[in-house]
Amino acid sequence: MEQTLLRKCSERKLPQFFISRIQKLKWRSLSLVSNSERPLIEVQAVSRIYSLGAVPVAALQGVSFTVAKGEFVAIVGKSGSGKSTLLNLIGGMDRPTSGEIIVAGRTISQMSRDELAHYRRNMVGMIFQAFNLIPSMSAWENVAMPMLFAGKAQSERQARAKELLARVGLAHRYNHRPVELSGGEQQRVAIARALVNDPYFLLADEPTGNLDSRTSDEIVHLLHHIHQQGKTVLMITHDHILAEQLSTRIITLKDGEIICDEAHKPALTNLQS
Amino acid sequence: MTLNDLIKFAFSNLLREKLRSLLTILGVSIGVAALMAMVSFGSGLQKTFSDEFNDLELFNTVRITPTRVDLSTIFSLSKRTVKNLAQPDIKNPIVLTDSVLQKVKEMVRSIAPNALIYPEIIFPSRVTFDTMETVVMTEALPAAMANVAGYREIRVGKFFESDSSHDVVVSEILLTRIGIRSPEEALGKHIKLTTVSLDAQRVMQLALTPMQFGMGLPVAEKSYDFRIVGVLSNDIQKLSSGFRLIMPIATSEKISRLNFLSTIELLRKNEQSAGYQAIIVRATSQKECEALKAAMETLGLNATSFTDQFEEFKKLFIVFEFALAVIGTVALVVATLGITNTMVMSIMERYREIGIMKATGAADRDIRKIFFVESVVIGFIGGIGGIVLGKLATAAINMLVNLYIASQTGTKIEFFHFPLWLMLSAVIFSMVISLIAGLYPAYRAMRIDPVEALRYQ
Repeated sequence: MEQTLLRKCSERKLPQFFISRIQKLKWRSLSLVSNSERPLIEVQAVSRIYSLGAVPVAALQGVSFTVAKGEFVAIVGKSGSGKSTLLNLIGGMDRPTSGEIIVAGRTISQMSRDELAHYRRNMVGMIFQAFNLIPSMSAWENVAMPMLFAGKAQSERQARAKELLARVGLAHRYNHRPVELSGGEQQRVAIARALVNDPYFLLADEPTGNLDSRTSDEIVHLLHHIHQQGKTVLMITHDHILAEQLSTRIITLKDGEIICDEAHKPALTNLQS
Repeated sequence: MTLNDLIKFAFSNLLREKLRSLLTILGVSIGVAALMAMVSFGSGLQKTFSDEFNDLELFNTVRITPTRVDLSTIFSLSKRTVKNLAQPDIKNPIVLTDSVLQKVKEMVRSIAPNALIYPEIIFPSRVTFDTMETVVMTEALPAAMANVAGYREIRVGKFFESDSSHDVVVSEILLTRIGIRSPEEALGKHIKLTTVSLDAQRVMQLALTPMQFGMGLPVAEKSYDFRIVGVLSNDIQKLSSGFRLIMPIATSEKISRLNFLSTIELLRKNEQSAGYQAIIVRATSQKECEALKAAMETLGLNATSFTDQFEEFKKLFIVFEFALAVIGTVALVVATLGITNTMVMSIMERYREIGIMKATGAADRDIRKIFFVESVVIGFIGGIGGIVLGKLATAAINMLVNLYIASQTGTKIEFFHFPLWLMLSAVIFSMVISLIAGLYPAYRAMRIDPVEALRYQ
């Protein structure tokens, strides 16, 4: 349908504005259609080479895999294995030296800076080891920040932030600043922020790395719960126990290459049910 | 991000580093205050003059002179004293005789029936009261001037009522010269006015025997008795020399005098010797005045309105104001360098935060807008602060200077003038300059790499 629309546009010499609108429509419809037809995330022969000084260092070398909708994929590996590089690439914060990353039918490695910002805002929900909340903002403001960049009205932002804070069990911390929250609470605020624009998938980087074992459990259960509700999750960790608790699939990286990619039965399923 | 969000965001960010924000804003305020003070000083002086001239109804005056007045020489430092004999003025001077005066009177009647027409008569005389005496330029004016601004607000007594009476009006400052302490005391006092004229007998003698040193000039002094009926208010002295003695115009015609002010004037061979120096027409409105001027020009008379002279005067002011504005702008530019510095510092401190914003979906333009709006907010608050600071500072300066003036002559002058346009444009100018100051920091913030920024602790 969008093909005919586009052709009509160019025939009638409609302004670029409409064409870009239709292309956005195309993106939406394509991604909706493709959910059933093709994998959500496709990583195709991706390499990332850093040129540190004179010697080029390959952080990733020809990595390929796909993630289907509804999977909980853990990417494990020791430090220096290329995990973080892969996270930056899938998170739309870096570009591969070669290869392509296609998310919901869109090649993100070819996007403009603006398109990448849109991608990070609406299609990915990032969760970091260091929580990365903005200290000067209250819990709800942190949660609603991606909506701020989407130009949403304050009332809408507040309502959505309230809803999500309730979902992560922090309704009573609505107006608190990050310094007034515990580590576990901060990470829950960060998870609420990741979910605020209802992204296609969550991208978590060592989500329990900065937490003690008790609060770590809270986050593990929360992530499990979110996955149970149908959200696709891609988690990067060096913690095998964490990976085995949650993942339906574990990909192991070593020296920038995939050495193992196998399906897995999450240990937590039994606990939860 | 909506503008509303951006402004709120900017305020919350500025409040994070209160002292630094305050100091930056203070810097801008001082810059704006300096600019305001400079410009308002120029426009204040101009307004003072303009209002004063307006109050004196000078803009209603047309002056007819024998030759065309070259306006460009009015405010130049040196008077034109060099005359080329080989190239006499192309335009013949019009001798302002009584018949010309009559013609002018007839013409004016049809356009401005209420206008006053009189020849300009000024001659030196010696004033004697009791044992004191002084020399003063005596003016002759019609009694009808009693209704003209500057004369109607007479301080004590009244303006003379008849054109042929032996009554005079003097300025307050002249009284001190002749030893009268207060204006009230002066009323009704008789003074002696002495003028100088040629002595016919001695001129005849000179024709027979050449002039020798020690013989004295072939002149005769003649004294007249006058009564002080009014003392002029202080206001009218503002822009005149202050020593004034005014007598009725018809009386002045009966006083024998030389029709020139000094021998210099004689040597200049002024064509005026046969006629009046000028004929003055005082209309009742500026509009009438313009019509009169046009009518006189068609009659071939050289008419100059005060408005023309003031326009020349204003041109000088524009240059003056521009120079002041440049100085003020330099102050503001220095202040905005402070904004750039503050913003660059702020970006370094918020480096990681900017990374987080970008990682969670802020586009380059969002980051750029955040820093633009922050700069403009500083400029806006600084501009408002600058107006307040500028008003306070100039009020203080004005008060101090007027205290000094009060101790000298006693007339207050408003040196600074803050019209609304000046305040509005100061704020807008401050905001625009701040925006320019924010260009580089905003660009730098926009280019921050999120991967790099998130790694930074």
